[in-house]
Amino acid sequence: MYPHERSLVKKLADKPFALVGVNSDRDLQELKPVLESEHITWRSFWNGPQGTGGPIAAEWGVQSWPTLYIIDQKGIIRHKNLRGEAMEEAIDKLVAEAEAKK
Amino acid sequence: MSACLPVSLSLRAWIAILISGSDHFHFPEVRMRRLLWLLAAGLLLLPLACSDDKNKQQVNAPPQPATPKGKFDALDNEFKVQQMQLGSQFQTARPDEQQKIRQKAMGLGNEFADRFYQLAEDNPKDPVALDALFWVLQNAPASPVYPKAADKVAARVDEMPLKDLAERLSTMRGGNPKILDSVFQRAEKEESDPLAGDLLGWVAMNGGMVPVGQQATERLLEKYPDHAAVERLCLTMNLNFPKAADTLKLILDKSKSPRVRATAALGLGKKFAADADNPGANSADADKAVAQAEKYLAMVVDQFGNANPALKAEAERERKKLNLRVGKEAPDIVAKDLDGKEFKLSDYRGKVVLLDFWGNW
Repeated sequence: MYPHERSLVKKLADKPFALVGVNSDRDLQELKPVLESEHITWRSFWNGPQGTGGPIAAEWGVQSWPTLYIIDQKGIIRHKNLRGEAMEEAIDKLVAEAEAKK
Repeated sequence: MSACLPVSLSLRAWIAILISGSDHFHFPEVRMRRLLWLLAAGLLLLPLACSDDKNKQQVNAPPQPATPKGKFDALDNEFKVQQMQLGSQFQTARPDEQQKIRQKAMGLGNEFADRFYQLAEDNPKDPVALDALFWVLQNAPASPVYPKAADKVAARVDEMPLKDLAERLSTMRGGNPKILDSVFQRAEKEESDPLAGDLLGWVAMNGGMVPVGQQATERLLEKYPDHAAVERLCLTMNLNFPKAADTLKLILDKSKSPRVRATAALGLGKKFAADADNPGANSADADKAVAQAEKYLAMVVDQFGNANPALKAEAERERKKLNLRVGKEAPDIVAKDLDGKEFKLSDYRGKVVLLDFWGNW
């Protein structure tokens, strides 16, 4: 997943797009070296010390990982759990919409 | 006591098999019941496996039993030993082999079915015949002898002592139409007896695919509106049954207990929420289902919430999930990042956001 995310972030760096994570690792100290080695530059909320049982995942009813939501520029949920090419196409389309409205 | 170890290991392995087999069992309650059943079976075996070597030999190589009951016990034991062996194999197997072992474990009952059925055939007058037939019903639903065993049990439902029948049914799942019919007829014959309510509850619970299930629900509510089976039905009903919504609506209408009615309304809310999430549903159907789900969940909260805080909390969780649908506004997230600095999802308004629930595992 990380390489795909990295290329997406790179490709859309100058566009109205952001990758925002919700991280469900229990131990941040163990995670820190991974952020560096995998070049995880995008920002993540931390789901807290309960890991997958934390409050954000519970609020969003997330029961499997990864779960992906695509949210448009107005804050409306537009897609859930698209993967691969279908996900990229949907993001490109919404980014184009957002640019057109600017 | 070292003999205990493999048992607990294989028990864990069994649980692993069952959980990993969850694609066959979509409903936690079904899985849970299997799990409890197997745990019970495992606990029964525990003393056998923990006893000293002399006893252990008896388990592995029982003397040729003479009585029908002895034959039944030996056969059942052989089944359980093989079950445990598969359990320990599963635990050490490679993932690609695990699938095969799981299938073998799931089908193990079917391999024993002929011998249990034959035992019943050979000893028609012995009480063990009924044990053997019920064994087939419980453990071997896909075996060729299952329909014959079901016919035989259905024919005897009428003459069995009510208490015995209710007890046997309480651990049995499955909806063979002939047995459902005969159990329903038996319940209809009984005068007001809570055990007859148990029978109706069993038919209602397992007969979701056939008309008699709905009929049993109606009779249960008519004759025993306060029976514990009504609440159990709300809590454990398979929401995928075609008549699930009708049954729950009936309970919501007819029951006098606010708690049971709240449970039925919550079940309806969940049922419609699941319908809305069904990938096969078109958007108009999904919208209708969402509206229905919202209606029933609101009922749980507004009408029954004060007296039933646990049900209210669950309804509120379901409501939040409904709001996480495509087309709805994303709820804001305000929390700390991995460096401990707070930020908000709404900071990104104006941008397209890929929100990624991830973990490094």
